Amino acid sequence: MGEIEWKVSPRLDSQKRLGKLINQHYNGARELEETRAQPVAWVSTMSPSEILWAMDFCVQYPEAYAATCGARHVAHAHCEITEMHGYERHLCTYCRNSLGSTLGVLEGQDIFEPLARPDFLLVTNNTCILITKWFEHLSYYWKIPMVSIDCPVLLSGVDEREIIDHVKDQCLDLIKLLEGFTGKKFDYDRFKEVAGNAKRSGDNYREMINTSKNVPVPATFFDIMGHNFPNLVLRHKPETAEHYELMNAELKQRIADRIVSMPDIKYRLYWDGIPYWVAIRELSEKLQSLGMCLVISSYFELFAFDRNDPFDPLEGVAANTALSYFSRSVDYKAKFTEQMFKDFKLDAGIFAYTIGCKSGSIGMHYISDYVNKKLGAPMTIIEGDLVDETFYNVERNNMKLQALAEMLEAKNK
Amino acid sequence: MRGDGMITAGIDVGSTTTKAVLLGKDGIYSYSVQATGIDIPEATEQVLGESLAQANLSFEDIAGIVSTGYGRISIPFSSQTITEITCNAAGVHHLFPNATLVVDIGGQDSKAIKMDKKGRVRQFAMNDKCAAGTGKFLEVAAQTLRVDVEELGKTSLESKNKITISNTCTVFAQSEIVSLIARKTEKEDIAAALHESIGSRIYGLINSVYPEPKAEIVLTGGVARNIAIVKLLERMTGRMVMVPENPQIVTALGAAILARKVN
Ligand code: SF4
Repeated sequence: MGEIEWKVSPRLDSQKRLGKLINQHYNGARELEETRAQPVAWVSTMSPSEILWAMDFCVQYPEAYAATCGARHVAHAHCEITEMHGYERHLCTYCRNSLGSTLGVLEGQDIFEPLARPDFLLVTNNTCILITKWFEHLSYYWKIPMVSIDCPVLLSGVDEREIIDHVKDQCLDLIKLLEGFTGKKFDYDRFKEVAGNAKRSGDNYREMINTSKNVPVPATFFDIMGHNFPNLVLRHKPETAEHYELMNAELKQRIADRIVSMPDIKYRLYWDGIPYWVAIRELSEKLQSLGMCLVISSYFELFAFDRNDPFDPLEGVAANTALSYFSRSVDYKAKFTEQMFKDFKLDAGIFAYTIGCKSGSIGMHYISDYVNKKLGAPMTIIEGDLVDETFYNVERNNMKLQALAEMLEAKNK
Repeated sequence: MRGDGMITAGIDVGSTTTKAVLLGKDGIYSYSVQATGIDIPEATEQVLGESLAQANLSFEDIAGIVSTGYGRISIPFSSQTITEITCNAAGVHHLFPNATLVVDIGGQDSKAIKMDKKGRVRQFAMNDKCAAGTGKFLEVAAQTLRVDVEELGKTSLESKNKITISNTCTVFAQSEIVSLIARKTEKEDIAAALHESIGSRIYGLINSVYPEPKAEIVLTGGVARNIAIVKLLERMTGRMVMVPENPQIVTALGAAILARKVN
């Protein structure tokens, strides 16, 4: 690939700014524990948070918290708390982390940087069905109201317009309910402003993802994955769009200056599934030793809120929620993945089967085989978990990754 | 140096046994199989030493060594490590040049490998990390049934009544066997049910690599000696199952073949 003349510099300057954004968000939320100046909502990933931001809620994401706990190797302790309360081990580990940390806080245990206590819960079943039940249990423990938005699976042949309208009606119900809950009238101008910021942020986020089409990539999947956070948690703020604008400028400059973040790239790889937060270091080191560069993942689609519209914010948030990637049929995902392989010039794929996330893993065999048959790209399915390290077998997964590299080598002979 | 620089060695460190194969111009010179135990370097030195002694060769006669298997990185004297997936496919391709589908059932894992006619791996799948569907499952079951593991397959063929073992988990299946014995269920019937249970696991594994419709199965690994498994897989998959003469050393053989290229 002619990487020889490229300079290697692993660290992006944008990391520092990202760290600041994350700290500001969590510190601000924690202050609210004292001041109660704003209500706090806990929300599931692909939900219409713009409505809550327009009503001046501080929005927190238990899934993002679980990912952080996984990466910091503290999730297992939270999961054990749920087990001690009788929950079973094969439940989603994001859910176990969240219920465990909640129970820990309520029981006065020492819990790793807990989220600010919630006043309200909003959940959408477009990622999976279990998540509604998870939030129901949160609602029970915190003794707070919860709203659940229903998003049917987008099987082929469904009328997307009908599904968007179905979500739109529920968003209107949510607005009404929140007016009652906060005692404030919903401010549509503020809603437009929030949607405008979120659109700018989302557009720049998409541009960031697309820079990975460059050969070689200016930054790997591992470098970029943390930058999902602002578009999820802070997309309503102008500084988020600014963050991505600076990030994109940095990535473009790296391309112009011929800077890559990993040496000796032999192969460009796709990642399917939510990252194994507990094993990021093992994975990145192993892949690097094999000359395999992780370039892109459909996981990023979970953070791409492409449909925000400041002129019709309700339509935008309803469409984002109704048409989320997780709601798509396995057929759609297979074709989408095939297209990613072409657009991002990928050589092979890693499908990360997750013991604790059946809904994210169920279609992996089908998708990997579909793309393999269409493009001849070798694939491997590894096994592990997002946050519970006891489900992760380093040796076995390393062997599968090495076998994938051997397949690529044999193919190119 | 003897052997015209053509002698290579393959060492396969499995969870249960360690195997070494010495390969020369005309084929396998010698091989050795031993329990892996807890000291991997010692086990590898022993199998290699024994193979060399059998062939009347010395370490200096070996032009290249490839190690494979779960303990592959613990072997200090190998020229390269290659995964058991690639080595197994190379070994099978050497023995059955037209084969495109391999099932390898080892001590603690089982795998299905789809390859092309050149012996290149196209797709592979492995059992998840529990021991169901592996040699360990049969070993534990045989112990509970008080039957020699070598005899378990033959015992199962004597079964007259069909029963089902509902647990594929090795630990739970063990207690299920105990209660079946307590209920005076014939051990032949229990053995048959155990084989059915392992067979359905392997069947799923085979399907997950989407093999060519008519591809025959080459069965390797220690469990390939079990005649009941062979018959069961033939019945379940409708495919012919071929077993090499020494199914346990195929992966080590593949490693020795690949060592020629490394060299
Ligand atoms: S099961 Fe998967 S999709 Fe559902 S909440 Fe858990 S991690 Fe998310």
